[in-house]
Amino acid sequence: MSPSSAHVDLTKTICAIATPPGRGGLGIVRLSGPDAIAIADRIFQGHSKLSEQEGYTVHHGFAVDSRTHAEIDEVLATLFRAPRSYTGEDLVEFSAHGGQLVLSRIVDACIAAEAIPAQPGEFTLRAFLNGRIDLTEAEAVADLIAAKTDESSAAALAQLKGQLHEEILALRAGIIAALARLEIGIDFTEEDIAPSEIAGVRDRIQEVRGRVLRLLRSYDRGRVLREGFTVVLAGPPNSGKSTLFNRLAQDERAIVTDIPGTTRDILREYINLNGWPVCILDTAGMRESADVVERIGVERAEHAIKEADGVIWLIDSTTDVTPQLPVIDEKSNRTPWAICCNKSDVSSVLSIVSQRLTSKSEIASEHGQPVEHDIGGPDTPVRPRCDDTRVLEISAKTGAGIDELLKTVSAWIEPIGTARSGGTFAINDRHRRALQSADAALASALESLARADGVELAAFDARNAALHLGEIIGETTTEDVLTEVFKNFCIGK
Amino acid sequence: MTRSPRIIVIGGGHAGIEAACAAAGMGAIVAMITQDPQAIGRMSCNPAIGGIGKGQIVRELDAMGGRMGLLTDRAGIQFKILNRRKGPAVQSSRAQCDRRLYQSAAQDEIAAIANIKIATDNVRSLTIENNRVTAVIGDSGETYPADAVILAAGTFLEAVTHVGAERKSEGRFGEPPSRGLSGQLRSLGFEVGRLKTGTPPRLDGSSIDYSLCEIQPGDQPPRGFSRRRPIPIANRANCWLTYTTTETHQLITDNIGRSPLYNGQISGIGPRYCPSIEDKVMKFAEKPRHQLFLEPEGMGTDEIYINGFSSSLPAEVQLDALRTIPALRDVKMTRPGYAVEYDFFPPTQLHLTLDTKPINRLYFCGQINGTSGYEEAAGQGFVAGVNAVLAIRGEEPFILGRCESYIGVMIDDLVTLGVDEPYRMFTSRAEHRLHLREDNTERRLAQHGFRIGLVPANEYDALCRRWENIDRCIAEFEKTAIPAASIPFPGIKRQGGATLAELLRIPGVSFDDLNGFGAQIAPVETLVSEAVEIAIKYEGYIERQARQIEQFKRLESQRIPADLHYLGLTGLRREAKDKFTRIRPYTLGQASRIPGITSSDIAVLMVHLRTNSN
Repeated sequence: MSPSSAHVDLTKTICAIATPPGRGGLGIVRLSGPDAIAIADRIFQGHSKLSEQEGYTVHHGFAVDSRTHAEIDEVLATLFRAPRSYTGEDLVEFSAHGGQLVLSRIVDACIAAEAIPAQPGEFTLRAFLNGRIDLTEAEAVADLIAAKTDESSAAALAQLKGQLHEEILALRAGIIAALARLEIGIDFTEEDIAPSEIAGVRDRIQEVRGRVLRLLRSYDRGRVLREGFTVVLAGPPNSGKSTLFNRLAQDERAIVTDIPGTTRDILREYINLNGWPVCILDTAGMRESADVVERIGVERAEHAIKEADGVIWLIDSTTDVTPQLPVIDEKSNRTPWAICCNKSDVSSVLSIVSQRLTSKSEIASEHGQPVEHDIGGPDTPVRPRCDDTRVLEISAKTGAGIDELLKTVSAWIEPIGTARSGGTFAINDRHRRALQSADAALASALESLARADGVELAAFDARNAALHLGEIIGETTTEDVLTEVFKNFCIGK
Repeated sequence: MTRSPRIIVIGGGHAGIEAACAAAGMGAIVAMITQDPQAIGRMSCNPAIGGIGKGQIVRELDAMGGRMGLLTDRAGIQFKILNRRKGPAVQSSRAQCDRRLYQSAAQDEIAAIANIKIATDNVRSLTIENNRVTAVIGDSGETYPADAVILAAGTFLEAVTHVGAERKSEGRFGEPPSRGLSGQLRSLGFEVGRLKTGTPPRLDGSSIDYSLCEIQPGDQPPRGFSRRRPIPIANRANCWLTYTTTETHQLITDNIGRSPLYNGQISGIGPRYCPSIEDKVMKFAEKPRHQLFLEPEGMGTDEIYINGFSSSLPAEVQLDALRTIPALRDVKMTRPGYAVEYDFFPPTQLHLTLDTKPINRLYFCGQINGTSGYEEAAGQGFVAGVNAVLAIRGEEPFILGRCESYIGVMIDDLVTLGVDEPYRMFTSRAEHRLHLREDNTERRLAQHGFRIGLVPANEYDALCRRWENIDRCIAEFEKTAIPAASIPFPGIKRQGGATLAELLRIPGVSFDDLNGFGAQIAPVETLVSEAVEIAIKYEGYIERQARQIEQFKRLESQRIPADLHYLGLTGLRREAKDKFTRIRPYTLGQASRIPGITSSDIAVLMVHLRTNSN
């Protein structure tokens, strides 16, 4: 759209947590913009669609993640229709049962449904822009915006100067070089250009994508520094998760009993591991249960595993003759796992567990031959692979094997710590979203390139990737591609 | 107004023809003023219409009631779809034409329209009253009164041709330029610039050794441009491909000082995408050879156009250079290549209607706006002709969106960004390329042609019926299930089989293949099966593109009053005020595309628009 580095785009729908952070009883997620109601409908399951409702009405239902259809929380949705809302736009507020985790998940679901994260103060800014905030003179409003944007763009510029800006420029240039080669194949199809000059598009895109992922990891580094590296303790009930939690936290915070299913919600504790903050989460035991509250606990545990940076799966060596192994989806399969055979002071099942892990070759024979003409169907869950998974023998009670476990966790953190020598890029959430979109577009471009008729589709994807990167630094694309073409290739019959 | 609008079209090239026919079709009395009525519809450069990005423009014209597609079908001698092996969004039609047939088809078309009169004259000046053009005055002394004037003078304004050191006042080979008009426009406040373009020599085909060339045949079966009025067409001629040699390059390098492009004789800027042979040799010295396409000028002639050898070297050097090419060892040159420099008006001086900002009811189209190409000229001519009539009638302007047509992309680019070289269409200029396909052209645009009265109701109804068939077929494919047993793809093991649409999405499966899976598919015309196949196969991408278009339209649908006083708006940066004042954007979307405008400028502008409208 517009070639700019300031970021007020009233055609987009924004969302954010609208209540101050804290452990309050209720929290609000606010969605505002032209698609607010449509997006809300994508994540809201109630008696009827919000799009069919009047403004100033409240509806009871559940917030769900449209990607997984997983329920997030019971919510009340309050509907405001433009222009009668705080921002003057269509606006939906979800009141949920509080807790930053739940609210973040709702925001995340909105973003998956094509909202964008609001910038600080953006709801108010939109209210100004839409004439909702009662200022007597339009000029004053305009001055205010001008001042505000000047200020924010100055701040943004300061932040962008230096490494990140340079890196984004380089990535964008890489995509444009690839795009120019794709466009030559399209717009100058009769030109005599050696295939070798056009080849390498795939390599270029792959290289850029690798660097985008590195940038995203550097976001991880910043995040880990701020929020801690999250390790989830999971496993069947009564496998000793809480005992291990207490040992790691060196504290009797979790209630430890012999009754399976004692831990029903998630407990967290920070520990310091070689200078890195590590956030340990204790979760409810994984089992089928008729108890509603316990079931919610299990769902939360499953979600925590998905979001984790690393997972420690516990098995009770004394009772599990056929140890229950975790079943995970492809996404969390990238997360490092450690399987701990607990209660080693009493019994050992290490060898059985090790044998039961699938090897890479087994996975390949099960799902590996990629179904060439996949026409749908959910991803098949897979088990963690033995090649990436450590199996350890510990005793949470005596402390045996704990040092080894902590070394394993340190090894997980190491790649993030060294992701980028020479400092962390100042990557904020907006950058991260743009980078993630660019990454998705690049992945799609690589897929399209494999199609015989996919050049223009790959170009569409690559262009979108360049646009997403351009959003970070405020540059547009079309003329750049043509310039690149004419500079490097002899074009013209 | 009770009497019919009177419109003057200056120039009988591709822009002038579309402008005159569109205006006349909407009921205007049109006078086409040309120096030479025999030159109406002349193809000054290559004998081909269409090509990548350009074929789409011709198809768009046809869908809205323009003429270029019809004329090309009548004059075409070889038809080809470029990028056939790529996806549907970048496939473009092109036809080699018989130059004389095209010209006579165009002249017949004009002659058949009762309310177009042709005047043989050269326009010397415009009569302006209250900032509005009211008449034009010819060299003959005649005054032609007008409600609107459309200037489509091509490369003729103050034109100079160059062949080596030889300079002539010519607008085209052997044709006098048009003098005086650009001087008057300059004095009226128009900015005037200078561009350059070139054309290659013409060869005597009987002196070419075709056995040393690669043949370039047309498509079998050939496909024409017009879907509204298809006529039988055939491939009647071939093109040929040959290459320059290192000898050719050496000869040109040795004589480079004699090229007006390299010795400072030419100052105008030429197009990067259509470089002269001098440029190719000098700037890409590492290339061992360059392609040359030999294109027939027509059926009744041996003359050959050598595409890729545009040059302004002295005629004897051109001939020597050609003779270094094995297939052209004994070639005879019927006409040397030349460069032409001409005046143009930077197109940021235009509204999206192609009306000029300094003078009301004066429209510019074609090469005087800094474009190149017959198709680009024709697209502008059509838009200018339609808008001239609408403006006289006091009706809403006719503005094509970037998200619905290549013509819209072109005019928005010209008016918003300006040009710094002759502008040619490329598909990569269209950010919504996946939507702007040749196959869906009528669906995108025919309604406009119907609404303004240039597509007759019977033709429009026929198109609507086809669209209904397409939609019905897609809906049926989405719900018709084929049992797993009838599906010959081992990869698909889904219980309960798959729908026809799902099968059609499999790479390599075509519409016709579906009959083999036990489905009972009623026979449909090719245009329907093609459209269904594209809609289903590319559904995911088409949907993503459609979502982007929806986003895009939000700013695009917000109009800015034409008389907005930007300098009086507080909170707007000085640079933004100046740019808005100069471009006078029609919508917020267009405003956002002006180079150097930021989204906070747009936000401020939006506030003012909303406060003022409340």
